[in-house]
Amino acid sequence: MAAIPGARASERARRPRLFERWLQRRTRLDLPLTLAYRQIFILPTRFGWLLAILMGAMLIGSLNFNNNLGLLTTFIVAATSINTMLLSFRTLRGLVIRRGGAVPVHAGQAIDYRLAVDNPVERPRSGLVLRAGDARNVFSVAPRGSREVRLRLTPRARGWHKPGRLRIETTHPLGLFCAWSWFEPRAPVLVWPAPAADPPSLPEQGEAQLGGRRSPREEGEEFHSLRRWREGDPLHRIAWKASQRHQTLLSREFRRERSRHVTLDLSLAPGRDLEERIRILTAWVLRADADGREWTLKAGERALGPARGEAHRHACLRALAET
Amino acid sequence: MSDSTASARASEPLAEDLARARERVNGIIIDKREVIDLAFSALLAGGHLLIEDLPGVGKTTLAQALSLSIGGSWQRIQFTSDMLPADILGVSVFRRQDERFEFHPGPIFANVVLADEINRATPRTQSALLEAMAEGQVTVDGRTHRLPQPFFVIATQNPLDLTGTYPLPDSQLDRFLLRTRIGYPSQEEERRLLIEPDRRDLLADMDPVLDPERVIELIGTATALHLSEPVLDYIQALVAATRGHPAVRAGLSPRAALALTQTARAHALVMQQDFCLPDNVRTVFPALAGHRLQPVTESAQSGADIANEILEATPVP
Amino acid sequence: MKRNAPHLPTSPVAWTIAAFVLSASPHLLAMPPVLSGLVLVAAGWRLLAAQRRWRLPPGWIRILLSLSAIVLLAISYGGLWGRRAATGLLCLMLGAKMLELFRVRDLRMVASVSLFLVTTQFLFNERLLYIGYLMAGVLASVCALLAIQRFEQGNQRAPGSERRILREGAMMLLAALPVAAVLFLTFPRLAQPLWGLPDEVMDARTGLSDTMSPGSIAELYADDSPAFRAEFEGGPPPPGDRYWRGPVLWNFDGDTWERAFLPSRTPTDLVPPGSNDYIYNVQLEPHERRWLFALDYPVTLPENARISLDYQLTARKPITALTQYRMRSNPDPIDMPQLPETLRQLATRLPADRNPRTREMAESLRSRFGDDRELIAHVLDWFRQEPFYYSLETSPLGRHNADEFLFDVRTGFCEYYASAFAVIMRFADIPTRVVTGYQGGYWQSGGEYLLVRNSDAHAWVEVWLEGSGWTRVDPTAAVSPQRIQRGASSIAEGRESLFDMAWLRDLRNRYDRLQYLWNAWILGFDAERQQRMMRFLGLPDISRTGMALIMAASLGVIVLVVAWAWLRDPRGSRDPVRRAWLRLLRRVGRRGLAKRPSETPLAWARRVAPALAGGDRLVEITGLYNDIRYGDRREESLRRRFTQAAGAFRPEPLGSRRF
Repeated sequence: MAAIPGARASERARRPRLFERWLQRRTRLDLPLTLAYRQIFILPTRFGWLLAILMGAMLIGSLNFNNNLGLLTTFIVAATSINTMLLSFRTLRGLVIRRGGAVPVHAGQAIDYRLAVDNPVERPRSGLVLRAGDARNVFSVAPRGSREVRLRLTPRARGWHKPGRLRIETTHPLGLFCAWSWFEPRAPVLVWPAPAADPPSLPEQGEAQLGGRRSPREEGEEFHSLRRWREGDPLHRIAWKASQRHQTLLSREFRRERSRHVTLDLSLAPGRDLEERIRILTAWVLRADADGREWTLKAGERALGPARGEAHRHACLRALAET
Repeated sequence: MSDSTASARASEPLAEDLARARERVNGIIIDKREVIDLAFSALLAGGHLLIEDLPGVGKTTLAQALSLSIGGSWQRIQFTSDMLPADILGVSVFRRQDERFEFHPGPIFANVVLADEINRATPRTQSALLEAMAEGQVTVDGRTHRLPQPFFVIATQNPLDLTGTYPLPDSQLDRFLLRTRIGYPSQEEERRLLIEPDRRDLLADMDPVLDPERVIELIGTATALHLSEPVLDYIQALVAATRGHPAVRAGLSPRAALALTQTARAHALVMQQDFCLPDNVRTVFPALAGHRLQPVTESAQSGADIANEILEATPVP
Repeated sequence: MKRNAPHLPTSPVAWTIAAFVLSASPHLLAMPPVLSGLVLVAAGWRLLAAQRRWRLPPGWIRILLSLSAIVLLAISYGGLWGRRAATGLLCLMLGAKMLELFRVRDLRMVASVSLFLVTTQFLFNERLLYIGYLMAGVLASVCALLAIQRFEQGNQRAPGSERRILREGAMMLLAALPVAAVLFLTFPRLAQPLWGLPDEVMDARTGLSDTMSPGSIAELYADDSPAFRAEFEGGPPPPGDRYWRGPVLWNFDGDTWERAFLPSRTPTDLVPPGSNDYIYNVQLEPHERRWLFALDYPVTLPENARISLDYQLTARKPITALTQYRMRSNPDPIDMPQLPETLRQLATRLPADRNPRTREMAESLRSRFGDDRELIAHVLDWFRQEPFYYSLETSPLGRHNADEFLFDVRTGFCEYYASAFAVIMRFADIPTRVVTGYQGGYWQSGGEYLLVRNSDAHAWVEVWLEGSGWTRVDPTAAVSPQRIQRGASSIAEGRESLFDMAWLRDLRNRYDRLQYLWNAWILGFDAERQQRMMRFLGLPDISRTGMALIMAASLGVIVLVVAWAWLRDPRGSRDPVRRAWLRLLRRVGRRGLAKRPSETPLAWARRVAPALAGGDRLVEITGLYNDIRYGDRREESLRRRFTQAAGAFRPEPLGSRRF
């Protein structure tokens, strides 16, 4: 199970192992997670440091000239900074990250990773930022409200992915301090293989084996035969000319051509390497599903189908992703 | 919740009649108040009801009692696999003597229609019914015939009977406002059922309390029932939660959100309340959202499970 | 944020500019109008640019404008590099920044440097009024930071949001006060500055100069601002004794009296304490010179001060901030029973070619009166009897200024009289020196202190007499006794009648009382006062490290308190109904019957009712709550009924009740 590539991998390599272990201990990884004192880190932002330097200058100057109003100003600013630190902390504390997950996508597409966040207290929380690598999303949660936050992740390879370590942070209310928490949702995200851009047409070899089963009750667009008119047959189905000939009302009966079955076998698919074959097979599955056909997927030991429909498509794509 | 302390609208005869109608049905279907309330809510919200349950738990009796209590016409359609759309909608019969077609309305032309075992019919027949339900009218041979008002369909479907049936496709399920189960009777109730005379005999004695006009009036009342900001917030939070749920392929649509609002109002009216409570929303939510939430294939949860999970996870404002 | 970033919306830009202009306003007023005009134009342009969505001006224009402003500044301040020039430069630089204020980072920079600007203003003026400036400046900056942050968080357009920002900013400011107060009281102060103050004129008008020529004090008469305040232990001295000694002048060149450079007295050389001593605290307003004022004759020396042979107190550094010192004065001793010959010569020297008529008169008097005292009495009588007038309306005097004043003009104020009288004395060979300082003062009966204004500046004469040493003679008193008895304002009445109405004066005196407290408790809070406060709290002799520890400890405590206040779960909303409901939930919740968040009120009440005595009542109360919250019933009676019922409900588990 690979982590979604991003900035974090390199970041992690840079960090000493000891720190990493300490972080692991302080970072509760699984959801649902209620952010508490132990999970929240806080440091001044760059602007916070700048203001600190400015305050230092104000302090030294006022102290030197024994300028009490200057000192008072400095202290009010310092006290405000302390307050904003507490407020940044408060913005995160008690926030509940209930669960995360995403609808599977094809490799190369952006995962819309969704995270459910609850605010259990009677106080709005604003200026929250969810981020992973470069992806970020700013959001706020109403008092006692809950909402869904989306994060666009861009996986590169098929398979099951852990979303990796996500970071939720805030610089609310003045941008002086950044409070943040790390967490790692356990629930993995499925990434289907990318479909080949220009796949060969579907292999029709399965027709002989399974095709031809027809159901008399299926109606379709293809004209099938004439029969006696029965109550309930719509007017436009009446074959007027034929009826005149036979002196009785006749209806046209329609039937839908039952689509031919197709077998999609990974080992028989064209392609230079496994990945390309998987991509072609993926494209075929999508095509077969779009055409409303019934298909069987064979990938290694596994055989799925024959079946059709969305559920079958999902199962097949998942099997291809896991191969 | 019938004894809600939320001030009852006692003085209004219309509401009283509704209460009496509800009591009538309650008298016949023992111990199933919640299902009956949901059925009335679906009716007053102008929607249709799908009951998924085993045969013999009283689906038909419920539908019949309901229709009898509100007056008006009622029809039962037993669906079979060889049924054609025309068997439901009606046919234009060519009359030799005056050389023209005459429309013979099908069984769907009734105030309350019980579509029994709908999954036995072919998809084509099913969709004929569903289209008529959605549009409130029937078009046969280019001629449109309006269905009577109120028009209320109670469809039943046997979830276990799968051989040779056509379960309603997911995409069609939301034609039904609510989907619910009746469930087995409790021990006590079962005992009463065994001792007392057949429920269907009781039905014979039932006389209508309401009439179609009054039902229409009640539907209007439900539409205008007061729904406060916090309840609206709650509805929005629930809908948002379905959209954010990772096990769900697609959350509730805006139309479904509107339906939720309307059904909660109708439920409040059934409960004799002046305004809508979060309790009403909570009660109708699983029935409304369960069949609309389609779980992703990886999920072991059913739509109803997800709906209940969302209810438990969403704080009431 | 890119270089040509998207337009910042008006709100954060406007708040930032407001913070800047507000903080810079006193600086701008003190700057040459051309420069402050430039800064204001730049700020105005930026504001318009935010509204009209103008683009960043090209770089060369910005550089050109900035450079020309700096050149203008250099010209205006004439190369005098001081505090004013420095703050002026800061304002100009921020003004130039307005032209490239197109990034969030720039906005934050300007908003925080505005805080710095507020601080620098207090180097020039620390008066009570400025507390308003402090609060407004800090508030505007905090609001600007809030608006910037809000923009960054992406929620910018909400109705009434500007007022909300203001309210939030005020809340933050208010919440900062406890911690700020603790820091203020406990932060270890420096007893000695780390580096000196530049010698430069402050905003406050200067006090007495170290020279005197007729007319130089007149400028001070128009200045009603306080010079100092004195708080006496046991009543103020009588008006006749309220002579506050300032510079003592010995040398006269015919136009100007100047100081002589006399040796300092050693602390052992001071007068001994007596029985009629005045003990008092002086709260001296900054006046940029080194004079300290005291009554005759100081028994003790304030810290960092010297006393000269002629009992003139000077501080080691110019008084640039409010200074407090404690004094003890003994009015009785004889100053110099023996006059050394060098001093006698110094005290009788006169330019020979000036004032011939005065010399003639002095010499004739000398021949008539052998006794110095009689001569002096005669001259004072002469002042009294001849038509001399005390007036601030004077005409300039020429080369023989004593002659002109004594025989022609005969109208003037203390300097004229003191100078002319001293000239007569010196021609009569009596050792004489001129003393400038303050005389009188307004007794603030409410505040129990003597308020001495700059308009109380005065000049008098001291003559050396055999047997009584240096003796004070005030010729002004001979002409205008009420000047001495009732103070300078009695003279100025005619001049300032428009503004000098009784109620106005009263208001001013009340304000000064506040100012006095302000000075005593805020501005005058220094290392010494801090020690005194600690002593009062029972912690004597705290070292600097000890003070730092105390600060750390008390800061820790107050931050804990503030943190608790911030972090505790909100006590519900403003709505009393909601508050009562949440309180009810908590009360019942403590019985282990908490409402789950996903539970509806009614479902909860029904669930827990069976477990409580009077559970039905709970269901009823919840019904009322439902009516109000979900039924939108707004009748006050219903709301009151609910809050009362909810407040009265006591959850008792079934069975715990005694029957």
